[in-house]
Amino acid sequence: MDQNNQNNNGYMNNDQVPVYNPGVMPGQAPQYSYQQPQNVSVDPNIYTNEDRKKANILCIVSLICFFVVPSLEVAFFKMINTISVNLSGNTTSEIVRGGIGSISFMAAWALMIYVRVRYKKSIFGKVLMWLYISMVIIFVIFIVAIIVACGQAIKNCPG
Amino acid sequence: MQIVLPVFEHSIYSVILAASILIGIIVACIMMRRAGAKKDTVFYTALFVFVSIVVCSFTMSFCFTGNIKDIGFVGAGGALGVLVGAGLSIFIHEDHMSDSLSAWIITAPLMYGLSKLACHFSGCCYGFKYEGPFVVIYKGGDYVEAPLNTPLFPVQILESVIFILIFITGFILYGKMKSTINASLVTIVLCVFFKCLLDIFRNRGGLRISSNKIMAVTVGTVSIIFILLAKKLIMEYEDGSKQSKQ
Repeated sequence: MDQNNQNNNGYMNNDQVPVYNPGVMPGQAPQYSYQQPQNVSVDPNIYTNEDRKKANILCIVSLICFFVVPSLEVAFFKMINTISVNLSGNTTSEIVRGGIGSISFMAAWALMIYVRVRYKKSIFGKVLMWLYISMVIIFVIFIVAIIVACGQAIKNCPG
Repeated sequence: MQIVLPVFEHSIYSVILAASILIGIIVACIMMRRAGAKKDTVFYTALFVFVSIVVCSFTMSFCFTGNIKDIGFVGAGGALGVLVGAGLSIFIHEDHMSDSLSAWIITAPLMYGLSKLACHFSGCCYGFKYEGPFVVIYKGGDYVEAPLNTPLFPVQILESVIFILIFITGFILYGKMKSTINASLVTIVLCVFFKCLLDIFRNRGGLRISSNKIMAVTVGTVSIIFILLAKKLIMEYEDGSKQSKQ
């Protein structure tokens, strides 16, 4: 310990041979590095069993929002149209239909991104991300294909 | 001086529109990175904003037309998409919140300004009948909505120029102002004012209260309220994180 201290202070070793230590000048206090203790609970790299469960639940909710809610909504409005009145052309019904579908779709994306940010090591979250990205790519290819094939899709502003 | 539009085999609207969204996203990503946001934050925010723009635009056009075949891009829907996408993202990531939100809002007029070139070439959103300098004349093309061989006011080009200038103003303010959120508020006010003003020169616009003016004022008001609330929440969050560090 003493030997180490002497060396660190730039003086002499046990054999009294002068040792040059450029890091610390004579008479200067040795510098100690201090690391701030990290808050473990918010670190996204730490992935416990409980985190996995939470991530999986969020991913399942995201999948429901992405696939189940829009399908149920379409089925519900088709059922109403066949049973009672035809709602197509009714502005309120269009707003409700469009609103529910888009909100659930956006919620699905938001939950997936939340999982990817908070629980980086969740495999379900990673799979979900690539599933959604591939669906966006398929959608873009589909639109491009229609444009190239017949030049009909999105040819000017709708309103 | 006349601007005579060439006749294309197919409409080039969607190509210019896609390019304008892409350019806007790239510019916003660069602004976020320069503000110090992490790569992950930039990637996920860009992805979410893109999805949000498409979803909000298509939903709004579906609500307007009521027909799934007529869905497309609407300016107000795109603006709402940017607000929703960027607004939700900043609370998910909690990384350079005010700079990230402001970067996307300031870039919105750039996307809109460039997309108006698509309207110019495809002959939609055209101006009133006018005989003066820079008249626009459409010669043909089955995609053109505007009347053919008629001199029209170049409202789409004027909108492009003004909205790109609004973006430049916002970008300069973003760099100079202490609070970047205030720069985004100035940008929104300018956008709403000029959107309503330029609607007067449109064929379907005039001085009457048109659906375009109503949508612009509604989306602008919602955006301002949302940003003021977000500003308060960001300040509270930053104060909380400062206290926890101490």
